[in-house]
Amino acid sequence: MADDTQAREQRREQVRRAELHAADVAAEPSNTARFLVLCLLCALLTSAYAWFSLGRSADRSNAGALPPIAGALDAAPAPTDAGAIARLPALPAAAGAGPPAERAAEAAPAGSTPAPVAADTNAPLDDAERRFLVRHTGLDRSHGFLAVETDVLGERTREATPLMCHRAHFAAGHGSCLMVEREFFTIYTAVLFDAAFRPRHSVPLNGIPSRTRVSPDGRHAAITVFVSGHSYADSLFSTETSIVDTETGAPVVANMEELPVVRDGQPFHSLDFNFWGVTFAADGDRFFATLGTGGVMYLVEGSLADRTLRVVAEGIECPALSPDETRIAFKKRMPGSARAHWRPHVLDLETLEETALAETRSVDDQVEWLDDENILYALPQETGSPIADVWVLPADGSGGPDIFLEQASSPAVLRSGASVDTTITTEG
Amino acid sequence: MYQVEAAAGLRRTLLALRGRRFWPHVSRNVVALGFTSLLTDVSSEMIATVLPIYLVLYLGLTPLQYGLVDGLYHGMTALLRLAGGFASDRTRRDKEVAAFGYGTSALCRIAMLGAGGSWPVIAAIVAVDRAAKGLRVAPRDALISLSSGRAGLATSFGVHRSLDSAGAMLGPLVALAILSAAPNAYDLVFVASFAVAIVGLGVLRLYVRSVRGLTLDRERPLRPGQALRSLLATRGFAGLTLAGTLLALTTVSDGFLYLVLQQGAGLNPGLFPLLYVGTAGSFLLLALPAGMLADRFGRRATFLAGHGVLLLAYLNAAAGAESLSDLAVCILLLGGYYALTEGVLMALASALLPADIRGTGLALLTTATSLGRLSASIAFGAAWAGYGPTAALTGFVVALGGATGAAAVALRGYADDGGRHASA
Repeated sequence: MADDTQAREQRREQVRRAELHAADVAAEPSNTARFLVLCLLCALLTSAYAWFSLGRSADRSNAGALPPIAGALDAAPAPTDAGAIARLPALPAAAGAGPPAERAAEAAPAGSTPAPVAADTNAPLDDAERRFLVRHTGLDRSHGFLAVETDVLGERTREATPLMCHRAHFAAGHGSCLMVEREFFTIYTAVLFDAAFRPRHSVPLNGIPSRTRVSPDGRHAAITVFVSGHSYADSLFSTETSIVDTETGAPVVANMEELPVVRDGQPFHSLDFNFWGVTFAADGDRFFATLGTGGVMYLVEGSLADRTLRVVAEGIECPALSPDETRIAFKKRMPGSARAHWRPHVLDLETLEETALAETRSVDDQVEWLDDENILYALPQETGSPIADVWVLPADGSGGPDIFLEQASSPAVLRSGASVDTTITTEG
Repeated sequence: MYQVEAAAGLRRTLLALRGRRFWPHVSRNVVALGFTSLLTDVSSEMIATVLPIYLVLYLGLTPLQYGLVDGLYHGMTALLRLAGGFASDRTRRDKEVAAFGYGTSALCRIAMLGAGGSWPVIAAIVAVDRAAKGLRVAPRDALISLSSGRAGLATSFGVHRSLDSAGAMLGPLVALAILSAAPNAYDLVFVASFAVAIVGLGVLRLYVRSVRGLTLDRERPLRPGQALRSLLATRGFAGLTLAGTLLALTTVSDGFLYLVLQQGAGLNPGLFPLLYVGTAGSFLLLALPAGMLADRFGRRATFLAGHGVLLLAYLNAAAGAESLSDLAVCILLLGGYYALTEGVLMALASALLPADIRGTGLALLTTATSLGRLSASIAFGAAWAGYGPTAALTGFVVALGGATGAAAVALRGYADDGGRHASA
């Protein structure tokens, strides 16, 4: 019986191999022709699309650039100096009409050393003059470069720095710039720079840049990145948050997940802890951050000296501490919609009362306080658009949003009141 | 006339050579399926490489909220894999079922272009793509095994896997080359990926022929109940599935191993894709020799030896691979493990399974092993978080050693080894 099966098996095997051979030997010229036509069509489709899309990006590189930041900024410009204002064209005209910004366009992210110029945050700022560090998002050759926007009695000028950043923040003479270096492989780096936009330290990052904040005293910088592909399922994302010393570039907290967390007086621990969105108090030691675990977001408060974290409230993402340190502005995920919708809110730290702000669009950004009454945040002009604007909104729920800085994201208010580290010398 | 005779002479020489087992005969079907997989892998790896950067940096989306449904995808893929295997057995149309899977994936590429910045749409496209991938695996492997002679099964799978990993190696490089030539041209990556997938589908449509009719001894396809009974009655299959699953349960996912290596050698995280490319390259080079080795000296022994190679890779990583050469050795060993086990397991199973239930059986086996791997990854992640990477890896070394021993015992009765000396 077994022999019979085996014999039958062998016969079948022989027949099959013979037939397969016959099939292999038979040449099919018509198939080859059809296949070549198919290949040709696909190649044509791709090259036609490449031609079309490269043509579009060529348009963009002809679109001019911002003027490079000039030495004139060294001295605090007198608001009454009409010549200085006239010399620097106002936005949006600057995007098209400015002189070609050779230096800004050429500056490789880490390569060339810019002419040392200082955004002298030490200079006493007049009430009439306000300055902001932003990421320029206009579709020109300065796209993605950090720029300083100066507002003198409503006259706006914007000048490009040599740093190209995805996210950036600046306080008290220290800046943090999260870079995306597009070589063949994409490499992510945090560059810590000084008041003259000179890179002082560079810290390799483990993932795609998400948030960064410099403490008001300039001592510390917090960095959050998205880490993907390391998890058990490849498309799972998690976040990693670290705090570095801006003077030395050394990590103060290499990964926030290493700090113990306390909730209601009890130790709180879970494998799926994720931290993001740090905001510092003026002393540079106390900070707030988001802790996400099990689908819930918590507001945690921590101290770098004590190296501990404490859960303060629930349902709070991307906190931003107000300059007077009484309130937290944050984004709150609204329930119900399939698509994530975040509405900006303000939390009173005394009463833990939440106030919804007068913004109905989804805001996925870490808010920056303009002053104690107003907040700033970036919104893309439409979903997926590389052009974003910075909006201003009253922090008490009244009023409504207004465009504050055009074609900009990642705003940092350059505050005159902040203490300045005197160890930084700016060479002329 | 003369040419025909010359061709016949050449053919005789070739047959004589083949008689000496110098160079294996591999059916054109297998080579064509290999090229289909190569092109499809180039296409899908192009997308996989750029997707995280595209979502976060280009579209400015916050991806955190969407990781949670991932477990659902995995479950769905497992179910569809079984469905694909069963459908190809039931309809006896492996080629058409596979073509449906490949075609759906191709459509997903071009759909990315229309998704814009909408998260739900992108998530749906990724889900459909994975489902399609699950669907086509079993009919494809059934086609490979049914197109091959019993003695050359592992070689055929070796040829296919070699071409397949060539695609996995080329995909990221093509995508990165496009992006470095035209920064931010993600739409161009999607279009090129679509074009490549269509050519792959063309190879399947024009050069792969259905072979079911040649191999079946029953007139009609089996009903579900009969198929299940036939599967249970297949001698050795339960043991093989058990052994395969047990071994899968003790393997660390590549991602975690890369992370251990990257931390040990201080490699910049931006160079992570290099590790994927390196593994695919080593798999590519070793898959065919490993398949020939398995057909010559026994598939069971090769399969077990492959896990020994993996054990070496883990030991190397656990001992602290500090230099780049340590890292390269590890990657080479990892590729060797895949070469010695991936196709060989399919060949082992194909030799056991009757043609009527080939698709269902292969689907069941790969579903069991991939679920085993998923559980192992979750366990490894937890062990890492609790005890650190070195301790976790050491634990897995012990477990893998034990599992290999257990698998050797479970496969002891494996009769149809395919090796030429096995029946002697």
